[in-house]
Amino acid sequence: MRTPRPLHSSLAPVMRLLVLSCALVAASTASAQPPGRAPQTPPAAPAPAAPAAEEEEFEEDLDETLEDDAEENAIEDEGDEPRLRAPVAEPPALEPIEEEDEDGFVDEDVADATPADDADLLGEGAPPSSDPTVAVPTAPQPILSLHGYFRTRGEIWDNFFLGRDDAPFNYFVPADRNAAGRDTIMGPDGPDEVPCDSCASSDRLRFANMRLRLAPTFSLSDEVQVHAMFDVFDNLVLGSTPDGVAYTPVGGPGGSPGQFDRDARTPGVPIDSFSSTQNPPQALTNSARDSIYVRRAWAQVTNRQIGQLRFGRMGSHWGLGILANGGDGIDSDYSSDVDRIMYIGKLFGVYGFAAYDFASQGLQRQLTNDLRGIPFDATAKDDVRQYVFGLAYRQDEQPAQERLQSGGWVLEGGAYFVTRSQFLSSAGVTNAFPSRADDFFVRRDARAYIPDLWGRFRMGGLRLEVEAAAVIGSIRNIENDVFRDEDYNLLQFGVAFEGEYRTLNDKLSISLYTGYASGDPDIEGLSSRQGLLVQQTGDRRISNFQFHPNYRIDLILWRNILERVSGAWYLRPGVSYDLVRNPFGRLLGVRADVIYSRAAAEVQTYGSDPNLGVELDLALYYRSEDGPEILDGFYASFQYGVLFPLDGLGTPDAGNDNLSRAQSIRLILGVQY
Amino acid sequence: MRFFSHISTPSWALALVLFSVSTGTATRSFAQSEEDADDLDIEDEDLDLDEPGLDEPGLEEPQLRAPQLTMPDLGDVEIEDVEDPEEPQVEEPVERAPAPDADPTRFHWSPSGPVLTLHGYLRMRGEIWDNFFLGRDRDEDPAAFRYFIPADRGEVPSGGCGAVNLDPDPASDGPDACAGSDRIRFGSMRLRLRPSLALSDSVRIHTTLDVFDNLVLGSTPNGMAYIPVGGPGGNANEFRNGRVPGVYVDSYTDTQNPPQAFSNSFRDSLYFRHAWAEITNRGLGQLRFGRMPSHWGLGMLQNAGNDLDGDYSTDVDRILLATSAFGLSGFVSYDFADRGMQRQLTSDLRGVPFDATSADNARQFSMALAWREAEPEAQARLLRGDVVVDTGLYFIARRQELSSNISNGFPSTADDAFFRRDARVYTPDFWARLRWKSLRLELEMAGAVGEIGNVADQQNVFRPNPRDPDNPIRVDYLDDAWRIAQFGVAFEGEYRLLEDKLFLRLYTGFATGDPQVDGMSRNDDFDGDPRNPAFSQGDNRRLSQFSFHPNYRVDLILWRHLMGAVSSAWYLRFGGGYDIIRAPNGNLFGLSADVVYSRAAFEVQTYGSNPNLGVELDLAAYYRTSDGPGFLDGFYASFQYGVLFSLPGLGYLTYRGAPEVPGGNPGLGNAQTLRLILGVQY
Repeated sequence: MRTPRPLHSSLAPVMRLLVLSCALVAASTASAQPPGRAPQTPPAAPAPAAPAAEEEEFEEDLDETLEDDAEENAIEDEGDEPRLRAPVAEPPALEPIEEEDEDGFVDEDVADATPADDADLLGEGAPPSSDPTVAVPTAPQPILSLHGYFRTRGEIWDNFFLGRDDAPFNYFVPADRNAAGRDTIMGPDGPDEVPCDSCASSDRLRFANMRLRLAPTFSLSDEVQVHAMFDVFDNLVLGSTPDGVAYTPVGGPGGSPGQFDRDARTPGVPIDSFSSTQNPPQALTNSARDSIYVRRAWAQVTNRQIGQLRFGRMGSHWGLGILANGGDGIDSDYSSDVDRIMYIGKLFGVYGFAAYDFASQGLQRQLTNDLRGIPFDATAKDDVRQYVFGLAYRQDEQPAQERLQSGGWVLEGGAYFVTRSQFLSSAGVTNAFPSRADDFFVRRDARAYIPDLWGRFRMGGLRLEVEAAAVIGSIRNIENDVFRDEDYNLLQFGVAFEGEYRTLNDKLSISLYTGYASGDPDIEGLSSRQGLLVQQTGDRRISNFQFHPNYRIDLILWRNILERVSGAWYLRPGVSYDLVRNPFGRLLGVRADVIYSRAAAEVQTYGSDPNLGVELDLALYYRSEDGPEILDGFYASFQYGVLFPLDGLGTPDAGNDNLSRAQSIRLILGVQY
Repeated sequence: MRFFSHISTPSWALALVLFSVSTGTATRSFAQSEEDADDLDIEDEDLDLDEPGLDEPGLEEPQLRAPQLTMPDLGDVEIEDVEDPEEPQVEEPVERAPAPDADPTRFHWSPSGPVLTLHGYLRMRGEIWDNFFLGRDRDEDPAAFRYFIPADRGEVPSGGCGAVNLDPDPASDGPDACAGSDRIRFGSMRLRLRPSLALSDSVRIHTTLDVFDNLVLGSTPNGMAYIPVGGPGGNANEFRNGRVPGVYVDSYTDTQNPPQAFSNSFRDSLYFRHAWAEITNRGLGQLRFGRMPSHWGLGMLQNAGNDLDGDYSTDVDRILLATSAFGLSGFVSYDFADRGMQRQLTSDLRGVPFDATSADNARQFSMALAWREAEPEAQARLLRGDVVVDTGLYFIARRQELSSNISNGFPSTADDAFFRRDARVYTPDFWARLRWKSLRLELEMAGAVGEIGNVADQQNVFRPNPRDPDNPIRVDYLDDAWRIAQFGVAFEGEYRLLEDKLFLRLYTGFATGDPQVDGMSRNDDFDGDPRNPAFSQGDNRRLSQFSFHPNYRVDLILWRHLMGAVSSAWYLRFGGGYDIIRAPNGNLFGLSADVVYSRAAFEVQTYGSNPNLGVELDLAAYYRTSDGPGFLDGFYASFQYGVLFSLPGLGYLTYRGAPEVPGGNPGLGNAQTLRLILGVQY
C-alpha cells in the first residue's frame, strides 16, 4: 500500500519557489525602475557600465527571444490562416529599456529624490482616497494596453446525429425532431395525430453565437505587468436572452420547488412571439451564464538577469497544443487555464521553467452568509498537486528567418513534464455549499507523470512539427463515495504531426497532418461526453488518450460530434492557396482538406469497426490589414464540411447502412486587436 | 436548396462580397485613411455633428438633455479647414470617435480617432412616489395599482407601529398597524460605460456596460446574504436571509457589498449590454454584427434608451448591412429575435451552447430607408429660412412557427416539447421631421399587422374525444387564429423664441386599444392568471392593443410608472419652458412645465369604464455644466415634480348603478412624485 507523501516534502518545492520569487522580486525592484520615476532609495552611483555590453547582449537576447517567443507561439498556437489565429496569452513584447540617464531626466530627479518624493510619485495616478477628506491630485498615466477579439459565428449543423438516436449522437438531434418522436408537438390535429408536418424531418441545427474577448495588460514598468482576460457574451447564442425569457428562482413567487421555472410571460411580452429586445444574460436569471467572465488574471515580474516570475490564473500552452492549449485563436472555444506560480529562466539559449499548479483544491470553507469573508481550502489532503517543468530550445525568429532565407535549416525542440498526485478526494461531498457536517473523503491515491516532447524542423518553405505525450501513473480508486482498491494503471500515449510545404511565394501550401491517440478496448465509445473511465472488463489499464479539445483537425467529427481526438488515428492531407497575401497581413485564400479517421481499438467504436469516417472540409478566408499588428484586423471565413460516416460510427449489426452524412456550414466574422 | 435557404445566406454572401471588395479601399493604412478623411472633411464633420441620439425624445430637457439645441456653429471652421488642408484640424478627440448611433441609417463617416474612446454616464436618482396606487389598496384591485402599495401599509408588525403592546390578552386590540403609509422613497444609480475600440477608420468594436444597473441605494448592506438552496442551514426550496458575521442585527450594517445575483441580490453588479463590431467601406457601406442597440425615429417603436434618464432599450442580436447613396441611407438586417430552446450541459461550463432547434425561433428581418440632410447643412438652411424635411421608412417582418413549451429554466432533452404558434407579424413604421426656423414638427407612426395561430400554451384546454366522450383529451393547442391589427402614432411640435430660450411644445400620440382586453398596464394580472389580459377576453379574434416603447416617455407618473408604457390611449401634452442660462458651450439652466391629459381608446378597456384617465402636471428645473469635450458632456442636475389628478377611468367600476366595491366605490387619490437626478455624462 502506498503512503501519501508527507506534507512538508510536497511543499518543499513550493517553498523553494517562493524563496526564489522573493529574491527575484527584490532584485527586480532594485535593478529596474519604472521609467520616469525615482528609485525607492537614491542610488549611490549609476549602474556600473563594465559588464554592460555583455549584459545588454544577454538582455537583448532574452528580450528578443521572449518577444519572438510570444509572436512565434501566436503563430504556432493555431496553425496558419484558416484558423484565424489571435496572439496567444504569452507575455507582451518587452521593449528594450530606455537608458533613462541618457537624457539626464532621471538623474536629476534621482539626485534630489527622497522617500517622501517617492511616496508622492507613487500616489500619482492612484485612485482617490476612500477617505473623502484626503485629496489626492491624480496624474493618469498611459499604462494600459488592450488585446483580444470580437467574433460572431453562424453555424449550420446538418444531421450531426448521423441518423442515430442514441448517445452521444442524440445530443445533436434537433429538439423539435425529438419532440415529434414523442408526440409532444401540439398541432391542429392534436397529440394523437400527425402533429406538425414541417417538423417531421428536421435534422438541422442553425444558430449563431458571439464572443468579445478583452485581454488588457497593465504595465507598471517593463518589469512588472498584470494581465487579465475577460470574456463577454461568451459563446452567447444570438437571440437566446429575449425579454420574454426570465426564470423564477427556486422559492420565487409562483416557482416550483427545486427547479428554476421559466416564466410564462414577462411585462410587455404577452407571448414569446412578441419579444422585442435582448436582455443581458445573467446566470440563473435568464441564462446559465453571465454576460462577462474573468477568465485569467496574473502578474508577471521580470528581472533581466535572473528570469521571470508569473503568478495567478493564466493560460497554458505547449508545442502544438495537444496537451496544454491556450485556446487564444479567434475561432477557439476551449483553453487550458491554470492557477500557477511559475519561474522562467534562460541559459545558453535554452529556456527552462518550473511551476506549481493549484490543480484542484477540493473542499473549501466559506460562509455563504459572509460575502466579505475569506474563503480557504478546508484541507490539503484532498488537493490535486501538480508540478510542471519544461525545457525548450528555440531560435530567435529573426535570425531563424534569415537562416531559412539563406537556405539553411532551423531545428527547435523541447521537453515538458507534468507530475500530479492526489491522496484523498472530497468529490463525494454532493452539496455545493457544504458545512462541516458534510465533510467526507475517499482515498484516491492517484499519481500521474506526463512527459511531452515537441520538435520543429524548418527548411525553406518546409515545416515539420511533432508533439508526443504520454500519461503514466496509477489510481487506486475511481469511486467518489466508497473505496474500492481497484488499483488502475494509467498508460496513454498521443502524438500529433504537422507537415507543411509552402511555395509560390508562400502562397501555395501543401500540408499533411496526422496524429494518434491510444485507445482502450475496455471502453465503450469515443466521445468525451461519455464516461471514458468505466472499464467493461476486469482490465485495470486505462489507456484512452484524449487530445486537448482545442487542437482541432476538422469541422464535424472530432470538433463537434466526439468533441476531441481520442482513441483514434487520423490522416489529414490538405492544400491551400492565398490569392492575396501581403506583408502587412492582408490575406484572402482558399483551403481544402480531407480527413480520414480510424479507431485505435475497433471494439471501442460504436459499430465495432475501426473505420470511423471521411470528412471533406473547404474554407474561404479573408483578413484585412487594419490595426497596428500583423494579425490585427477584420476577419471573415466561410467554411463547409461534409462527413461521410463509416461503419465505426454505425451499429455492429448494420454498419453504416442506416447512417447519413453530416454537413456543416460556418461563417465567421471577427475583429482582432 | 433548403439547406441553404434559411440562415440569411444572402446576407452572408453579400457580406463577403462587400468586404472582399473593401479590401481595396477600406483596409488602408491610417495615413491613407486620413488623406481620405481630408477629402471628405465636409461630409465627415457634418455627420459627426449628427450626434447619436440627439433626436431621441429622451433628450428633451426633462431628461436632462439640451432640448433640440441648435448645434454650435462650427461651419466656418470646417470651411476654412477644407480650403486650407495644411491648416491643422480642430481636433476634438472624443467627438471624433463617437459611439455609433443605434439607428443604423445615421452614419458617422468619422476620420481617424483615438484607439479607445469612452462615452457613457453616471447617474443617481432620488425618487418619492406618493400614492402611486391611487388609494386602490384592496386585494381585489388590479395589479397595476397594488404593485405600488408600500409594503408596510396595513401590515401589523410584531410589536406594532404605535405604542408597544405586549398585552397577552387575546381580547385586547393587539399591536397597532402601521398608519397609512402611502409613500415610497428610494434612490438608485447606474454607471454606463460605452467604450469603443477603433483599429482604423474601417474597423471598430463598440460595447456598452452597465454597472450597478438601477441599483437601489442601500440594498446590499453587509447584513444581507442569501443561503443558496441546499446550503448549510438553508431551506430546501428557498433562498433565506441568514445572519452575517459581524452584523448582529440589520441595524448594525456598516458597509455595502457588491450586488451579486442570488447571493445578496437579484442582479449582478456588472452587465454587458452590447458588444458589436462595425466594418466600414466608404464606398460601399457598413457591416455590423453582434448585440447592438436599435433606434428609429422618435423611439416609439425602437428605442435605444441611451439618454441619461432612460431605463429601457431595444437591444438586438443582429447582422446588418447599411449603405448610403444619393442622400438616402438604408439598411437590411437579420435579427436573432428569439431562439427558443437552447442545448447546453449545465455540467460543461466550457461547452459551446447551441440552439436546440430552429423550429421554435422567432425570425426577424428588418430594413429601413431614410432621407436625412447632413446636420450642418440643415442648420445653414434653417438660418437662411429654408424648410428642412427628413423622413424615412422602417419595416420589420417576423414569423414564428413553433414555440417551446418548457417550464424548466434548464431543460434536458426529456423536456423537449412544443406547441404550434404560426405567428406572422409585419411592422411598418414611418417617420418624418419638418424644421423651419425654430419650428420643429416630428411624427412617427407604426402599425403591426399579422396573425398568430395559437396563444394557449400551458392552459388546460380540452377537446372532445370521439373514442371516449366522457374523457375529453387535454391539449395545449387551440386552433384559434388571431389577427393582429395595431396602430400607434406620436407627434411632437416645438417652437423656440427669444434666442431659443423660450420654447413652447405640443406633443400628442395615440395607441390603439382593444375593447376585449381588461386593463392597460404591463403589470396587469401577473399574480393571477399567468396569461396576458390581451388574450383573456371574449370571442373577438383581433389583437389591437398597441404599446409604445416604454422608454418613449410623455410624463412622470401615469404612463411612465403606473401603466409602464403608453398603450391603448390618446394623450395630449402641452407646455413650455425657459432657459435662464443657455450658452453655446453647453451650459444650461432652465425651467419647464407641462400638462398631460390622457384618454383611453376604448372606455371598456379602462378600470373604471370611463375614457378619461387622468390629468398630470409636471414641473422641472434643470441644469447642465459645460464640462467635458462633448457638447452634451458635463454635470447634470434636475429637480422634477409631478402630480396626477386621476379621473374615473382609473377608478372603480360602476355597472348599471351597482358599485364595484360593496358599500360604495371609494374615491381616488392623487399621485405625486418628486425626483432629483444627479448625473455626469461623458
